[in-house]
Amino acid sequence: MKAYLPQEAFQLVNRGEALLIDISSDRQFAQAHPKNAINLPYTANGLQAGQVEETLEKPWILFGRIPAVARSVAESLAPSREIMGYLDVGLEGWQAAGLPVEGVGNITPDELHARLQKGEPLTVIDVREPYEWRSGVIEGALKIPMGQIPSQLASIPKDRPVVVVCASGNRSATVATFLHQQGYPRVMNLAGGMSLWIGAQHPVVRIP
Amino acid sequence: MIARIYLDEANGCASYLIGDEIECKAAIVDPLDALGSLFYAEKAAALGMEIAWILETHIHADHRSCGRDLAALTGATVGISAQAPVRYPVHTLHEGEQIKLGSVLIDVLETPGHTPESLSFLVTDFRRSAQPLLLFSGDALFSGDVGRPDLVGGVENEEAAAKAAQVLFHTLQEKILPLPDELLVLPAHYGGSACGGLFMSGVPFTTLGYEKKSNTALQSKEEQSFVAHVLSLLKPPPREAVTNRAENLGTAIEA
Repeated sequence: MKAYLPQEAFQLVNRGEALLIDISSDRQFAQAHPKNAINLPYTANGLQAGQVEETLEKPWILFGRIPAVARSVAESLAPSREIMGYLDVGLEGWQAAGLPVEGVGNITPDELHARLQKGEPLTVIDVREPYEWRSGVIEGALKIPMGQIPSQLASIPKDRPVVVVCASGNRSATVATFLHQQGYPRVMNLAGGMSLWIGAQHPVVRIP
Repeated sequence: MIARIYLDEANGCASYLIGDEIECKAAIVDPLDALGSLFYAEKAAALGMEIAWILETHIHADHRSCGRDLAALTGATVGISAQAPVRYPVHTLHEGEQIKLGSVLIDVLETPGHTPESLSFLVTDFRRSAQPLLLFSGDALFSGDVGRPDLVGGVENEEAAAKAAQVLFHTLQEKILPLPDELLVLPAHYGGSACGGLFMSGVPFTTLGYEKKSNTALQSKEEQSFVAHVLSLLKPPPREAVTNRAENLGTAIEA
C-alpha cells in the first residue's frame, strides 16, 4: 500500500486524478479536515457509505487522524475497490505541510445556552425527524429534517451564525459541513446534540 | 461518557476504553499486546475518539502491554504509577491525581498489594451524576477474588507474599470497600487468569456491593485471616512472569 506525502496527495486530488477520502468520524470531519476531502467515516461496521456515486468515479487516497488506521482500512478495502494509497500524516502533518484545512467548529450545550441567554443572534436548526422533536426542541429553533435541508436553504439566513442540532451530534455534523460548503460563513455543530442538551437540563419547548 | 470492554479471551485479560463524547477524547486502560496497538487505534477511530491517555493499573506479570506502541502510534500520554521503576518516558501518577476527559473525571487511587505500584482508577461521569460510576480495579479486586500477592517477591518467597497480602488487605478495607456499593468494578482479569486466586469468576465485571457480600476474600475482616485465606488459594503462577514484568518495565535485555 503506497504511503503518500501531503503535497503529493494534494496535487493528485487537485488534478482530478484521485479523491481524498477522510475516514474520520462525521464530528471530527466537521471540526477540521483537509480541504476538498470527502468524508466516509470509518465505523465499527466498516466505512459508512456517504456520497457513494460521487466517490465511485475515481481512485481513493485515504486520510485518517492516525495514519496507521488509514493504512489498515486502505488495505482492507483494496481487494474490492481502486485504492491508490493512504496519507502518511495526520491532520497536524497536513497543516505542517502548509496545506489548507477546512471545518466548522463544535459548540457545547453549555456554551450555546449561554450565548442564547445573552440574546446573541444565532439561527438554531434542529435537523431531527419530526417524531424526535417530541423529546423537546430548543426555543426558537428552525425545525428542518436533515433530508429537507437542501430544498429549504432559502429559509436559513446567511447573515448570522448557524448552529445545527440533532440527537447526538452526528447527523448535525454532516449538515453543518454541507451548509458550510453551501456558502454559510459561520456554522457550528452542537456537540453531543439534544441528548446532552437535555441531559444538562437546559430548557426546551414541548411540541404538542 | 462512553465505555467499551476489550477482552483477550485466551488469557482472561480485560482492557477498556473510556471517553467523553463532546471533547472526543479517550483513555485506554491496560492495553493488551495480544490485541495490539492498531486494534485500539482502530476502535478509537471508529468511535470518533482521539486517544489522549494510556493508563496502566500496574506493571503486568502475566502478559505484555502494548502501551508504548500505542503511544507511538497515537501520541497519547502513558500514565503509570510513580512507584513503578519504568525505563521509558511516562507521566508518573500519584494518589489524588485527577485526569479530565471533558466531563469524565478519573481519580487516581494507589491500591498496592498485588504489586507495590498498583493503581485503581475511579471514574465519574459528571454529565450524569457527581457520584462515581465505575472503578478500574486492576488486579486489586476481581469478580469473585482478589489479586495474588506473590508475583513480585517471587512465588517461592512466602514471607514476601504474606507481606504483600497484608498491604492488599489494607488497600481493600481502607481504600476500596468504603466506596459506594453501586460502583461498577471493572478489573484487569477474569475467569482463567493466573493473576488471581481459585475463585476468579467468569464474569469480567461486577459491582462493589455484590463483591462485599459474595467475594470470600472480603469476608475476612482481620488481616491475619485474610492473608491465610489468600495464600491458601494460590494457583500456578503465570508463565514468564519475570520476563513479562521486565518487558513491561522496559528493563528486559534485548536478545
